[in-house]
Amino acid sequence: MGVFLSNFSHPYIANSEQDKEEMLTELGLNSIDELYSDIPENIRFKGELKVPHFQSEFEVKEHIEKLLSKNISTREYRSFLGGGVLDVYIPAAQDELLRRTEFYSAYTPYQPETSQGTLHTLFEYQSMICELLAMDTANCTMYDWATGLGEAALMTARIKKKGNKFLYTAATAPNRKEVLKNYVSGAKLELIEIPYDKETGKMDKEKAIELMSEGVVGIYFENPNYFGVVEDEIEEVIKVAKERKIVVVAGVDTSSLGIIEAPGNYGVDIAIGDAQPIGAGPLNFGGPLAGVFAMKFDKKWTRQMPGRIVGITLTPKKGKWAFTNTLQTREQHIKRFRATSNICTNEALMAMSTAFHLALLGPQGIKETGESMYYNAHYLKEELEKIGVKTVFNSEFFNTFLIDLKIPKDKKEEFTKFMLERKIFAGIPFSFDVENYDYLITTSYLLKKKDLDDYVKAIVEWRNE
Amino acid sequence: MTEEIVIKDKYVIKKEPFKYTKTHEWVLKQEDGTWLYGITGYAATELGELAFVEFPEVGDTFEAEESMGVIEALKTVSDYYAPFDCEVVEIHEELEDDANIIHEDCYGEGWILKVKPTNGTDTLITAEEYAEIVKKEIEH
Repeated sequence: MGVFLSNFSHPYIANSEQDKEEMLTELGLNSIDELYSDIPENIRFKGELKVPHFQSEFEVKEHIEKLLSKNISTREYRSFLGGGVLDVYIPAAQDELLRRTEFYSAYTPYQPETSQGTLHTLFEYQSMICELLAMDTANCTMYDWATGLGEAALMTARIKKKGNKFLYTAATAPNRKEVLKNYVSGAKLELIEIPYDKETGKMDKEKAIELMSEGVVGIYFENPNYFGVVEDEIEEVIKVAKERKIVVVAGVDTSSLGIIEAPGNYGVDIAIGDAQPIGAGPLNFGGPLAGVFAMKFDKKWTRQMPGRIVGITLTPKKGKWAFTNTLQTREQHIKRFRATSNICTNEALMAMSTAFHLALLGPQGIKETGESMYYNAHYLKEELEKIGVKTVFNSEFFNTFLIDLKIPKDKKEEFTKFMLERKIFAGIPFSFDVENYDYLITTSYLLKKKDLDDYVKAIVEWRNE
Repeated sequence: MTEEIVIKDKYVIKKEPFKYTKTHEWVLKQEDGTWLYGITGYAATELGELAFVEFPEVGDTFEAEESMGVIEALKTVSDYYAPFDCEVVEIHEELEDDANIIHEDCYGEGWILKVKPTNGTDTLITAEEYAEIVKKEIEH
């Protein structure tokens, strides 16, 4: 007898009623519902799910397209959003390369025999990241900057062995702080926040030095920090960290490195960030992202570095280059529960995409896009000052700054709507107090003078209403 | 020359004064009362070419059979365990540059640690007893 669809309870879930009965008997259960007995009654869904009647492919497509048409994009609207992601332009050549079938997979290949192209590209990505950050060793990405931060904190603890305190600055992005807290909760690592200076928005140096006491394994700051402020007075903090053998971790805006000093040149041991602002991909509801993770070379540290690493080697018949995943003994499929990280994958496709983007931009392009963002932000700041809108901190910044808008909390929605009507994403609301929102605004290199002027004009109109 | 037991023509087990653990480590008492510590010929042969040794720190203390560190071969990793309750008094730093010395000369230049017993050495077994363990493992 053949297998008939009617024997199955569902065309895509091939468990017949008999299969289910057998499995339940084996488990000693009376019904499938008993499998969910751990879920409290009060949060269980009761009744029938409102699933619409089936539709044809054409109808489904029409429906989805109608839903999608509600999206608004930064091609029609002007984005002043940042906070870790950036509105970037993806050149046609980048997409063309990425979508080649040899490359287009989310997975890092295990078999070097069949994937030299992918591995070579990932190796180039690592090399470019090292050059950009002035570091010696890079892995081929974490999930994103935030998971990179969690991994960096755990790595400092593995390196130092003795000690369980990790310092981070209050001017770290809120989402990254949350991930960091979550990430180290199982590792008995105590997190201590270094306050920022209320005047400058920079790390409170005195406090940082005071906090770098016995048992501290690492210190983390962002540069520019979440407020957009450039941390340009941290030499002493880094000097003291070195003296006390504390690992220095910095999170950097990768798109700033054409004009801001690379972390490897001012004493940073581990540098992290996100590859999205250097062209991993366009803004898509905030992703996809790719965590940059690089460090200064130290043979022992390399083995404590999380993530995939692609290495270069010679073929058995010497003389030919070949690429392969290397130091895999650190990873979960070999080292099991003692693996350096329990993330045993990465953002391979985004890493390749970044490599293509950086190769197309070149050092000159990175410098020029950086300069363009810097000028846009500083022009906008000056124009806003002319209408009496001040920046919260009066420090040097790159492409992001906080403006003192003081939008009352109950007016936030209205303000967002008002700006959207003018085709502007106004920025990220940031609250220092319980009553008002200031706005964190970021200027990408895609903004033109008119866009910046329109922003100022919109603020004037808002104030006049 | 220390006498040897050789199993299957390839697994060398050195006799007295070498002592052993059930977990494939040897120890050798030094004149100053400390003990040299390494992995056995059976372990070194089975692991193959070695890439890295992860050391404890000098001064660390362990209970017998507790993991003191990890040896990485090219495609596998293995813990090494304390032979008795002990304190680490020296690590063999040369292995940091070339872990494969262990593979080449596991009873000599490939020593891993120097340890000091803190509660006797009763947990050790003789070369003959250890050889029986190896034979059993091979049969399985």
